[in-house]
Amino acid sequence: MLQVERVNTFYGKIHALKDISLTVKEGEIVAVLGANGHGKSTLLKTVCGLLPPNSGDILFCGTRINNLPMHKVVKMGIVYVPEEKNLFQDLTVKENLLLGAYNSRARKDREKNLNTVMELFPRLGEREHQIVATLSGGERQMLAMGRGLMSSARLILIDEPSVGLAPSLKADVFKKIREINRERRITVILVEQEVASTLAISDRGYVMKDGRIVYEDESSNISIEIIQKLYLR
Amino acid sequence: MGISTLFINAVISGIILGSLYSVMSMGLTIIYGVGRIFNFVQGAFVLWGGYFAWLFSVEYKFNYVLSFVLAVAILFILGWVIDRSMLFPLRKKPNFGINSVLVTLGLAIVMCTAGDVIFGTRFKTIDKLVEGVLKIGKFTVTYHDISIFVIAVGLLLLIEICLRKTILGMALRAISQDPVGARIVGINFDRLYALTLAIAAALGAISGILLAPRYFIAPVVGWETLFKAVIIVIFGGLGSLRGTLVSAFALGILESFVSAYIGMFWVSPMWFILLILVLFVRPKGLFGKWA
Repeated sequence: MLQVERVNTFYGKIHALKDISLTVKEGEIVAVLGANGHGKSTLLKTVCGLLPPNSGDILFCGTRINNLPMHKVVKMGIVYVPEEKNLFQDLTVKENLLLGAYNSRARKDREKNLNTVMELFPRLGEREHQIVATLSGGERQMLAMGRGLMSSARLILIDEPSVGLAPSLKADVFKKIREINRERRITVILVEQEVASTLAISDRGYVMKDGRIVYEDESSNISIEIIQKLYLR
Repeated sequence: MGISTLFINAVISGIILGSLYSVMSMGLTIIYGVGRIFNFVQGAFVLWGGYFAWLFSVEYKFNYVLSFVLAVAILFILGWVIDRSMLFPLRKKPNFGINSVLVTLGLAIVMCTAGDVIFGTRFKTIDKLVEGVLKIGKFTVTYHDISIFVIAVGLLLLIEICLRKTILGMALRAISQDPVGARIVGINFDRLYALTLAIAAALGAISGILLAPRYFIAPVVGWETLFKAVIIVIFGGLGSLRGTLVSAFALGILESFVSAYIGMFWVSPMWFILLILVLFVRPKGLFGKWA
């Protein structure tokens, strides 16, 4: 479904992604692991169009998307759920969700998607008319993911959803991601620091270090020892 | 008593002026809130709204309402075209902040001067929207002034409704609150930037056409308008719609009182003093953000 081929991305002079190649098959949950600052978020930002790559190609269902403006990438079916969430602070929960379906492909499904998201995250329904600034951390995470789902995306890029959450909420997040993948059939690329939980729900995993991919395998084959060795090397 | 008649007339006049100023300045605020640039062409939009209304209603002798609508439509398109042709190419390049100032200011100079060249240097005016005066006891108000107020309030309400209830309005508010978030949901910024400039041009044109019958049409109007709009918008807090509204009415009433009690010639100095006050004392304005 997604093919990243030899992508290089720079932040000014900093070479953040070095010759990255990876593939994602439809229906998978693919994990991207690695310590902070090693390029995981940059990878997601490059794939979704927020940060255009300096070289290399990104193909989504066979179409080259690397130089498309972001609104076109969203329209094609890729949505990014950033670590910072980037929610609209002074808008209500419902308004944030409605905007999630802004792209023209999702517009006709707006009501349907809204119901789906409310079923998945009932707490959002309770807080429908509250503005974002009044929500808790866990609720904001739900809203960020809900807004992503509103876009009728086929591929969701989720960046560190569990960060800053209490352990029970963290577990919920992973459960929801698995539910979204299995029941709604949405492909997921998950960037995370919670290695064990991530490997538990994902099909395959990549490990990044210094902007490169240094390891790749089925999640079931990736052990904690391998991870520790890679992080600490 | 004589004094209270003066007072009430000044208040009425001030409210009408305030409503006109709101429409005039709202475009600046919206553009700043969404596009984060200062639109120096706003005054020229007001001026050219007047010019086109004059061209159609006086020169070509079209029906007044038709002329009004045509002039506003032309300015709307002009605003869109200006954004796509001049600002869009610059957005991708560095130094957009200063470049946008240079472009909009330069364009303002060209448009205001071109007015003289294209339409002739004689001061022009157009008919009032509605002739006649309304007398309530000792107070008189022209019907034209009443219609200014009605139209202005109607427009402001329309803007408020669009911003709060329509998806497009939400999208504009979203861009001003979190541009990255707005990209994430797939909002096409370029199209919305053009739309905001078009709306600002249309609003400017409307205020210009309403203003013209009680004033005149000449390049100096473009500059006066820009000057006042800038002060109003900074005073109210850049990017805050509510702030612009309050500020426009407050300063409109102030101008009216200065004119009534101190003298018409003191209006210009009043605005200069306001400019200095605003820039030195409270550059953030009354409300600091997009409300």
